[in-house]
Amino acid sequence: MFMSESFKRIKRKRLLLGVLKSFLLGLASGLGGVGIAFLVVTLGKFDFLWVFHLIIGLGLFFVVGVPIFIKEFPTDLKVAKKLDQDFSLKERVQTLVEYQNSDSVMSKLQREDTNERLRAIEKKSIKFKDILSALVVSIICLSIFASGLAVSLTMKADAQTPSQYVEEIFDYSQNRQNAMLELIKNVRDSKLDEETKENVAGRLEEFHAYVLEGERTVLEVKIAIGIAVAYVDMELEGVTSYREVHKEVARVNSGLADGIVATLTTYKQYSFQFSNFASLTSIYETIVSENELLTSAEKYFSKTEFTLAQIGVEDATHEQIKRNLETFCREANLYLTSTESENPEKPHALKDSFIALTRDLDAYKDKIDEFTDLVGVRAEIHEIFTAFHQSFSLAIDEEIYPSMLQQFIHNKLTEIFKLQSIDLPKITPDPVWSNDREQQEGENPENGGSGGGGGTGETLFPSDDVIYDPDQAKYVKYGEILAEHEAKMQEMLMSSDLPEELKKAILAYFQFIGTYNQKE
Amino acid sequence: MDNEQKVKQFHEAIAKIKNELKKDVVGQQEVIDNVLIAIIAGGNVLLEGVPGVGKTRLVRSLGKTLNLPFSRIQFTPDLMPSDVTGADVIEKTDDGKMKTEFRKGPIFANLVLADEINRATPKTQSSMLEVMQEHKVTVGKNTYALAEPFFVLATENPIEQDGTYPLPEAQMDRFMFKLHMTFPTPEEIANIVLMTQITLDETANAVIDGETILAMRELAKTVPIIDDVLNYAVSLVSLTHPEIPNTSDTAKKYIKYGASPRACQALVTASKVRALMNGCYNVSFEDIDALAPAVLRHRIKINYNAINDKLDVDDVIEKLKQENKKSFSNKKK
Repeated sequence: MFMSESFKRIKRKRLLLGVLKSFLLGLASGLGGVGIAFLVVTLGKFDFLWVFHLIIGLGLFFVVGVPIFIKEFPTDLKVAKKLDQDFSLKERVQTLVEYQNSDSVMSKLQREDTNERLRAIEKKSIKFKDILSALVVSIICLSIFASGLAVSLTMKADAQTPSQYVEEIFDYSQNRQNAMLELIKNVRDSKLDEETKENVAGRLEEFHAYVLEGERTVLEVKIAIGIAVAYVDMELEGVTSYREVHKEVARVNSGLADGIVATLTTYKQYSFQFSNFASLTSIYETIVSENELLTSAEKYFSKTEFTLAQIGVEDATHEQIKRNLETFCREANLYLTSTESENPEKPHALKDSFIALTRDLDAYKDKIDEFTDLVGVRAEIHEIFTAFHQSFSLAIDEEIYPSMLQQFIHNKLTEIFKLQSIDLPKITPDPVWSNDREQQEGENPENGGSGGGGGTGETLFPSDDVIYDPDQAKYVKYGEILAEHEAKMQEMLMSSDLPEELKKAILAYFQFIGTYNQKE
Repeated sequence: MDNEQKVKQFHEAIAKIKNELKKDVVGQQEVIDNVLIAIIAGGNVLLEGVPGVGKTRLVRSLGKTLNLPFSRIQFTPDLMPSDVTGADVIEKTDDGKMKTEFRKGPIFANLVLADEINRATPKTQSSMLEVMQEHKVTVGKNTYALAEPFFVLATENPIEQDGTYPLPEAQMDRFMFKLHMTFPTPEEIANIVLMTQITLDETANAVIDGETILAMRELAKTVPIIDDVLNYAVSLVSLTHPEIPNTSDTAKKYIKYGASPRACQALVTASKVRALMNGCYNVSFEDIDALAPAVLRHRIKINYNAINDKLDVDDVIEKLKQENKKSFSNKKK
């Protein structure tokens, strides 16, 4: 076999060219295919796993690359034809290949002649145009790929933020539906008045039906929850200001009203943690059913202390009752405000405190029986006790339960629909008791008289709270005018002919006010 | 003599012949080349051209150059076959006995000029068949071999058709080439006039001999031809046949009958010589294409459609070549 070395080298070059060309076109086709897939998937908004893009790319790489490699694989004859064609060699190279086994004279001459020509063209045997088409196709495919990728990434980026939130379909699972129905049932079983109960339950049912009606996105559900809760809040917030509580308590004990309302407000804030209806009911039962004891104790402490002092109860007994009362109040507050209020120990502690207090009260009661000449005092104590109990019970019953239920509904919805607290409308704080009351009242002093008894002189405020001063015709801090009022009282006592006992009582009263104010 | 020398001699001989012919023939380079190809390939040539373009002069000059016994037969209607081939004549021997002796005709030469061959009757024309194909003459029971190399160079006038007898297809097929001698350009005519002012005789000298021609023929036969080129030639000849299925549209439309296998033989053989003459040691597609008109134009008969479409046989051959290239490249793909 006689084969030209030049021919062999050219053949190797063409083999490399074939590999390069097939790889380039395969890669280009793969990338182009992936680019088109990107475009189709992105513009068509199809759900397509990235692994399919990979499969398309690899598939096209082999489907295109392999046949091209086979086609471009340089056999002797293919190379010869190509050279003859490209360099107008008049079939010299093909003859060289076909007659490579011939040892005839003319074949030898033909070989020599062809070899000489091959040597001359060896360096330029690979022309740029051989790879040009592959390069052009590659650039086009690469552009398609880049475009597809860019469009895909751009649209993905645009859609990313809202879509995951907006487009995500809400899964209203059976558990969620059951929990929602349970919440509606809780509302129906609640102690609200029938009309309010129907309205609230109706709103919740409406929302439930809306979510069930068809496929809803998360955002749609959130909006619907917001609307439902807003309606529920509207129904319930009208009776959750504690204004009535304050008013009722203040009617019999102005000093105690603020304390009680503050406690209830604190409780309401902390009750945010409660999501169990039984727990809610239990807490409510505790407050409402035992409030008789609570209120009687507090009433006793706040109002009758003065009376006790007047009738000369032994200091030791007085102090003991006072301590028990303080313990009870502390326990009650702790219970109402604690985030661990479901701790079964808490009600017991409250109960024990209460029992201790009642025992002392009973002991005291036995003692005051000895003061038969003070029947009026006893009657007073009884009257105060009864009035306070009735008014407070009534007020608290009307106001605290809706507030608790409102908070409970918020909590339950947050839990069922996995919401953040910011997803729901805030429970509107009572402007009377909110911290920005001063500012509101400062801005609109004309309305101040209607808020929580402000400026009536009936309410005992903490020293930094404001009060309307009729003399100055403006709101002033309570602490600033207390000393002035006390001075006036001293002046009046000095100039009047009041009985000594009454003067003592007045002094004790002011002393008490001062003490209370200091405690606050 | 080694091969390179043989090839060198080949090219030198060609160059010499061409130089000598240039002395007597002005222009007509393609015709001269093709005549040389035919002579080296061992084929006969039919020269066609109007009177005065140098047909006879070319042949006479060629005879001188090749230094071969040359004879000229002027074909006329009354020319008898025996006037061409020779005949047995009765002669009296010295001892008075009668015997028949074969008197060789003018065909017994190495280079025969059959001038205006189409003016002889078919009977006389047919006497050329055996001579041209087999280089033999049979008279009576005796067959006489002609000396090699043997060529017939015939001429015919395309315009004076009165009193002519178109050559039969069988005889046409014996000619390797039919060459057109075109009318010379004004410059060539001027040269011709100037040249003939000195002498009307051919001035070419003998530069080679018959042996050399035979050696050149043998050398040319060894030029390799690849299958693709061979098939290309076969395909081209096949496409001239309107009766073959899947033949060319041109053949179907314009050709009455196509070329014989002898055309294919002639095409390949002549292509080998052409390749070698051009310094190539293998036959190329270009060689086939270049010689196709000379080989095919007298072997295919165009029909009235071609005449109606104002196509001559060369136009049809050109179409066939184009179709052949197209179909062949499609086949290769």
